[in-house]
Amino acid sequence: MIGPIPPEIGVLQYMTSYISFFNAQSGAIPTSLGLITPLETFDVESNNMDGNLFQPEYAGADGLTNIVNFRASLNNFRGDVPAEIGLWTKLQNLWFADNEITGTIPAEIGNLVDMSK
Amino acid sequence: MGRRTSLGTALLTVGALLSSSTVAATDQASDSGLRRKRSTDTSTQYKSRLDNNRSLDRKNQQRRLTEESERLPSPANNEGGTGDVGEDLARKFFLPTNRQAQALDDIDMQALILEMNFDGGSMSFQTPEPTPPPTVKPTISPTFGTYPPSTSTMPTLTNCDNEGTCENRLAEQIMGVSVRVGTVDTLSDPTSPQSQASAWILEECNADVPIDPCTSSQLILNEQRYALAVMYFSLTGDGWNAGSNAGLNKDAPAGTWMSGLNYCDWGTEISGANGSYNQLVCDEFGNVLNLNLRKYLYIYVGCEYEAAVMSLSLSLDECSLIHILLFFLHISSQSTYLQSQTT
Repeated sequence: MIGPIPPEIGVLQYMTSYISFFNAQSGAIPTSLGLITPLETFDVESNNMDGNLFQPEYAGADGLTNIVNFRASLNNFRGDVPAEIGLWTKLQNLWFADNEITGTIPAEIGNLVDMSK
Repeated sequence: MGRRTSLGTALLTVGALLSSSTVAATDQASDSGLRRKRSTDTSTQYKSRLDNNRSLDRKNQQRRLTEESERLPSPANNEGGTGDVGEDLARKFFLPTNRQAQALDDIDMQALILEMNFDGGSMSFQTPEPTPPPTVKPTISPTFGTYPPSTSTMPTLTNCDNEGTCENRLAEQIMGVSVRVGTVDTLSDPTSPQSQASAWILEECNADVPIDPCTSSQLILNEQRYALAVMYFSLTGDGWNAGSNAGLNKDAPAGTWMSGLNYCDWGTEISGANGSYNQLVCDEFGNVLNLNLRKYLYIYVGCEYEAAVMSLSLSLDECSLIHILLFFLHISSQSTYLQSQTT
């Protein structure tokens, strides 16, 4: 699977799970991902994606508040981890190893009491 | 300062008295309001019970006013003395005289409220105008279908009763989706996934079983169908089912992407060493719930080929050596392919 995830993914507003690891997806995560409020699993591990990993449209106050698994390791994502990550209170798995993430881990990550990995 | 304090004291006193009256009236109004909710009461029963309570209410009113007047400091005992001009003015113009207080006391607030709200034997309370009930669905103006084509980026709204408007209706929906997700510009590029998906779904107006662009419950499904098509063209969907693309073949078997009217049947069932899953799962209404397009490999398991999720947790059974050999063969072929692509 090669190419960018199109913004039209945001039309699938009832989706709870998008899994596409071990592919060759490129480009950034569409900001329209934030329209999929029921999304629980977003797994794009091991692709060729880039851009900011945490964008306010889906990682902000009105973003993916139901997300449980957010896996994005082994890509070329940039940016830092925003304090709003503390709003993902249902998060259990947050994977972003082997990227170009910078900055410090915000203290709000302590809000994620269900996190296991 | 003393004068200001004295005047403030007087105003506070007036406020307390008025507040007391207001509380009494509010209590009665609340009482009336509570009774108002008892819809099973008849008007007669309501009046009868009201008469029985009148004397008690009047006594309560008198008791409250007496208590308030006792709580009020006497003018003679005020810090500012009787010679305080502000206090005198306040007493003159704000404090009720004994006669006025008696007149207030004689007002039967409950009866007053009843008179205001009781209208010819039927309960007529002062409530906001009721909101008209919503219509079943929005009515589309019949003049929409007569709009001439324009150069606007917004498609022309069409009347579904007219022939030949299926494409316009779908184009309208696609434009709405594009505005929502910010891809309007891509529609002007015929090579974009959006344009390809648009052309593909518009073709379905002429399919053996044409797409329904009118039924309200179908509209949201059409949007998801279009979104899936965009993803298909954007993410080299031909590889999602080994290159099969049945196009508009309504007889295409389940598990064939971009075929048939029900996209919920597009996903292939993938079975492997780590269990099985379907690439596309919908709910009972046809909404896409799960999209699972992970990379999988065809490996040799138990002397039969089957699809399996690429995993490093291969079991050490009798075929494990073959598994590992095939795995490395696949990695090698992938690497060769990628190198050829980059060069």
